[in-house]
Amino acid sequence: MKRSQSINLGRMRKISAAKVIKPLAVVAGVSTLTACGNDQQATVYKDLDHCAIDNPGLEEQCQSAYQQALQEAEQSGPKYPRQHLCEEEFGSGRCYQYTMNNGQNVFVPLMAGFLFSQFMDNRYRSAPLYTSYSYHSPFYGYWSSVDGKRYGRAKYGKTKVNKKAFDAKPKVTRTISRGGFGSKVAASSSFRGSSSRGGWGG
Amino acid sequence: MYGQPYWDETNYYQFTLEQIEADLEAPSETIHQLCLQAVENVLNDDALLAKFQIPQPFWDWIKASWQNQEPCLYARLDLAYNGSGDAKLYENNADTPTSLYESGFWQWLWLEDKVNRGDIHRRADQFNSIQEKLVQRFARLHQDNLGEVLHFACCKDTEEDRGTVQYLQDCAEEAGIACKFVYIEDIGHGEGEVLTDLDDQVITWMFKLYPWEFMLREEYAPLLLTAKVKWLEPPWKAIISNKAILPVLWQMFPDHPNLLPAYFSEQDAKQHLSRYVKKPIFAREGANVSIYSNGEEIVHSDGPYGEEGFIYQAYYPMPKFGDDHTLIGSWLIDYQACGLSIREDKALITQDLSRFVPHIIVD
Repeated sequence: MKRSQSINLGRMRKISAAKVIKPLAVVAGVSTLTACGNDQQATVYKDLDHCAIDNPGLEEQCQSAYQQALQEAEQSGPKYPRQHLCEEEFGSGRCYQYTMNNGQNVFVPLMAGFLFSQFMDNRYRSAPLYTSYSYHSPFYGYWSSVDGKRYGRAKYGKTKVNKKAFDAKPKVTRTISRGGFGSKVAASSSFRGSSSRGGWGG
Repeated sequence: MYGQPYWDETNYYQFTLEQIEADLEAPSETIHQLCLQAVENVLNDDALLAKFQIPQPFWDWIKASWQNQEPCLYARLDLAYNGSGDAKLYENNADTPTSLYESGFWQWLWLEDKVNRGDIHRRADQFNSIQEKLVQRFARLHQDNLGEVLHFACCKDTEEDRGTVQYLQDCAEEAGIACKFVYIEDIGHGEGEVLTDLDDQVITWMFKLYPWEFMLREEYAPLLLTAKVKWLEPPWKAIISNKAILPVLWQMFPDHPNLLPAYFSEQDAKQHLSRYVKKPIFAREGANVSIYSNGEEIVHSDGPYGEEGFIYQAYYPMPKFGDDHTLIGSWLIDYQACGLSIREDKALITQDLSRFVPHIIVD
């Protein structure tokens, strides 16, 4: 047999050669920390000491959870080219300078706390949280995840969170400009006239 | 489409298993291996890199992608084959091949329907495991990139490209990869000299249906060197998809049964060939091609290409059945030959409005 044994028709048939489905944009929305069926007990701590005092004997776990959260915040959290832009969003004195891997200096908000939770496999996991001290910010008085989802009220202590809160977040950064790719296609496409299926494949 | 049918179901081509396996499948995999050897040669020869019109700032970057054996996904070899004898390579569309969806899915479904309606015998087969191999390939790539998002991109206002990319994205999702789409024109320059999507998410792994020779010459080209994106197709495909590889192949493997004589200079072509085709090293869909016979231009197609130079290939007419010239597209997923797409055109130079015709294997 030289052909595919079977094909998932439900998935593959959805586009006809003439019809194209517009992709859905992913929107960072407002959600609460809890969601049905996927709850996970967790505690929000302010910093490493806060965690260690509350969990005698787990100093090591607190240490690595805190470091991990800090690292994720720096990698995946918002970044600003100027201090005042960052402080507008998070409040005066709430931002610090951070040097990225490529040597570039940016400003990032302080991690205001982190989630600490023991999972079924007995391992501890963590996630960084931000909050804003700027009145006009949607995160004023609320926790926010690194990818801009607003969680519940910003207070420390026990809570329930969706397990997804601990998933690694995609790296984000500030976009300086767009449109730097695709100019060649605009420059060379006039000869194609009104062909409805012109493309750049060969 | 200029009032011409693109997908033609009234006809189909019929092959024997022997024709498929001996004349198309095995030679396609051989040609791919020859091309890989040619890439190695080109990357070790700065004079050739210049002839390939690769901008110098990207030489080391392309070499690194080759040395690191960055994985590739697919390619379509355009072949001349009339049912017997050696298939001859016209070109290797190794960077941005299209008509994948028609080949891997619709052609498969066409046979399924024909067989179910009793029009074609149940034992009929098709050289077309494209979709299966694509999903397997993506599953392998998933293993090596666990937890990573694969961005897919093509240009705006090209329905065919959007369809191809959606199809590939479906195959990748079938293999368990988390995918996002962004148009080429919407890609952003992010803080930290990275590339971003419309959600400001940093792009780390991307399939782009957009040719390297364009990307290397556009405003964001310098970001390619800093953005640390894993690309499908990888940068070394800029060499393999370049028509300048044709004279290199002929020089390295003269008289290979699946290759046509090809030269960098018109003088060499005139000396060795009575009829030859002048092709721009960067061009798609048969644009800017001229055919010369005894020094005179006999056919010419228009287009916007050619400023980067040309190569000269022996004129080897496509087989003609009735009024139609037939072009075989032989699909490779990674290094495996796994399917055919056949296009027909009334004209001597196959352009993007050629009709797609399905095929079957009957023994």
